[in-house]
Amino acid sequence: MAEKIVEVKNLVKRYKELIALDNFNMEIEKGEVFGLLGPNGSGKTTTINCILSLLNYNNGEIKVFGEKMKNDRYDIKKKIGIVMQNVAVFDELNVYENIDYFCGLYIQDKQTRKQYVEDAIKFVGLENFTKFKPKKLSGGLLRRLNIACGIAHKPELIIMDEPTVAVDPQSRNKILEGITELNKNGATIIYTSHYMEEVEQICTHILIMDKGKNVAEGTSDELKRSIKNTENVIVDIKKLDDRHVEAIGKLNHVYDVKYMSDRLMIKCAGGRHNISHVIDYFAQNSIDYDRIYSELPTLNDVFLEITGTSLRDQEA
Amino acid sequence: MIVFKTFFKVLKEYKVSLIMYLSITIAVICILSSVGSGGNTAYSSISQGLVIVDNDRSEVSKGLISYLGNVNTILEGDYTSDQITDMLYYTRISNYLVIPEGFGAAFLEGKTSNLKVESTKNAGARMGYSVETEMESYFRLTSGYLKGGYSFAEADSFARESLANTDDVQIVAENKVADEKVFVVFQYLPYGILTLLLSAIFPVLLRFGSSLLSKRTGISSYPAYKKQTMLTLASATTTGIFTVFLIIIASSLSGEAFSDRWWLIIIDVLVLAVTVAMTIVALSNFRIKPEAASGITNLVSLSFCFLGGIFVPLEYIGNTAKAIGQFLPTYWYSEAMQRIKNGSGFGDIVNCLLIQLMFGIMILVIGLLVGKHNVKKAE
Ligand SMILES: Nc1ncnc2c1ncn2[C@@H]1O[C@H](COP(=O)(O)OP(=O)(O)OP(=O)(O)O)[C@@H](O)[C@H]1O
Ligand SMILES: [Mg+2]
Repeated sequence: MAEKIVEVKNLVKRYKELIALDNFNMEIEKGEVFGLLGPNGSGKTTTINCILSLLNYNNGEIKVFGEKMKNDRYDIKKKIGIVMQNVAVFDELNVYENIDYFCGLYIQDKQTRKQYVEDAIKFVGLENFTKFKPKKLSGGLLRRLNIACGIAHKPELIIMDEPTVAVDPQSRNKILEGITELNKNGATIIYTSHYMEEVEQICTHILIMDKGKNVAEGTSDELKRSIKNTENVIVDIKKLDDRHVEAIGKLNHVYDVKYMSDRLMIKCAGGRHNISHVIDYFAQNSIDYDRIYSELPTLNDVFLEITGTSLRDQEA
Repeated sequence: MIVFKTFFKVLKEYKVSLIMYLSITIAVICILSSVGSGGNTAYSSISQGLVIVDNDRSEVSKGLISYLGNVNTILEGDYTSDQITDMLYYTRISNYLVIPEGFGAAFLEGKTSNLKVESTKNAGARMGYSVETEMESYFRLTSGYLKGGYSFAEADSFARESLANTDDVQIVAENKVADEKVFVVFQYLPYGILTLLLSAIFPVLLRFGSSLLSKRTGISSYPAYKKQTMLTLASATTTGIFTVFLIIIASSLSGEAFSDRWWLIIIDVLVLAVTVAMTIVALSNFRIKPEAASGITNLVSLSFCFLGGIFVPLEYIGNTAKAIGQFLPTYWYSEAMQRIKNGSGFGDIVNCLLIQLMFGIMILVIGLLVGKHNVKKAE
């Protein structure tokens, strides 16, 4: 068994009447890129804040690096790097000074710190912006600064709370590549997001949470295999009678079908070759369509099947 | 150390307002020190010229003239009315007094109600007023002693004796003395202390205390108590540097240092500076955006100065303002200053100093409680 970096047992956190975390459990092993996936308000940030002892919780137990986490365990905190959901930097300081400050909270030695700060700047690609004040940076660059401030002291455990929110796809990919690289260099990473694509792309272990509960976890493949949905057939089609929709729903392996805004969504359970049955049906009934294709289930389908609501719907 | 150093890096970004307030303070001190009069020459202006025409020539009128002559300079000789007008106009004399015939007799009989020495004042009415006050006090006392059965000679000497000791005369005398430079300059200094310390320390503490950044620092391995200690140390250092700097400027421009009363004044300044620093630390616990700091700097420094008698002497501010002012440390700074000016020692100003510190401690406690409450609420 690999070393456990974070253990969360039966964590309960209430904000007045609202139960933000409801007997939440989580275990993170050394070397993982651990994805915490959940819609807005599912309790991701609350979980992180409890792990960091930034919040008092009502019940449960939290261990970090095998020891009970408390607000004054500065020795444990020294090994943790945090990239908060909201960018926290000094408006008055430039990029270099900001990273130097946050690194300086952990690293006293000046020489080492100088090296670390330069490494961090290179890592996030802000070499040309070291003299810039945060207000002068674009949203994506600001996020990168936020990340640099969090990881400059080379922590063993890095917690990133939605570091890519409001970042353009190009910057986002750079950030994701960087995270993978940090992981390769030995850091264990907790990554929270409500973008399932990101989580699928970089995480070695994924925990899906909803309404403060751990609803499923495993690798991306394990999660997808655990549900009955095996294939989604999608047909772009301008006009389709209700009776056809009904008939398609009765085809073998099909367990759900929806026709909405010129698109037919067919969910299938048995294997990955259901598209041929659908094509046959359209041919037999001489129905014209624009396009037909098949998709393997995504984490969204996993989420949908477990919770009955879509991750995507809540994104907007 | 990193927090201490970063404090000053952040502070550096507020240098524009700092330089502005520093310039204002130095400029005003320069102006004030050139207006305020120098040390010893001040007393020569106590004595005012008087022309007195005595048509009575009684015991009483002679007593009055000799009393007034103690404090003022009586110009002998006959003058035409044109000459008198000129002398009044050019303020060579402050009053032209005519004592009517029969004045003394009527006075001794106790018929004081309609009795009047005719007095023509010069344009600088304040000086003329003080001579009238002197006369009034003299008559009030002598008539009192006469009623008590004393002879006029006795009444005259008792009156002079008590007038030499009473506040009446002291107040009159003070009005005549233009304030000395050192008091004029140091009386204004709190404005400099307030604006400089507020515009330097306040926005920096607000920045460090902003919820995101304090959370972010709180997550790190930098102990919370250490951060607080460093911020306190940095605030204290800033307070010290600015206060000493202002004291040096004020002392050199007023040309007085290391005298006994100078030390008292410095103690008053230091106590006020400490109190202001405590007030700023307290205020920084309220959830205020650093961007709002400059507005609050103006609000606090102006209201503290107006209500605390920094801009306008305490005796001239209205009763309502005075009532409010008494809750401000600047009021007690001014009060201590007034007492030092009147020749008081440390024992007489110590309660003014303690009240200032009490204000600081009280508001600090309130501030820390508010800060604690804010942290609790966030959970
Ligand atoms: N300080 C607070 N006071 C009261 N309720 C809060 C507080 N912070 C969070 N909540 C509530 O707790 C729940 C969980 O919030 P949390 O921020 O942990 O969600 P999240 O998964 O991080 O969401 P997001 O994806 O939007 O960041 C939400 O319903 C939120 O409204
Ligand atoms: Mg969140």
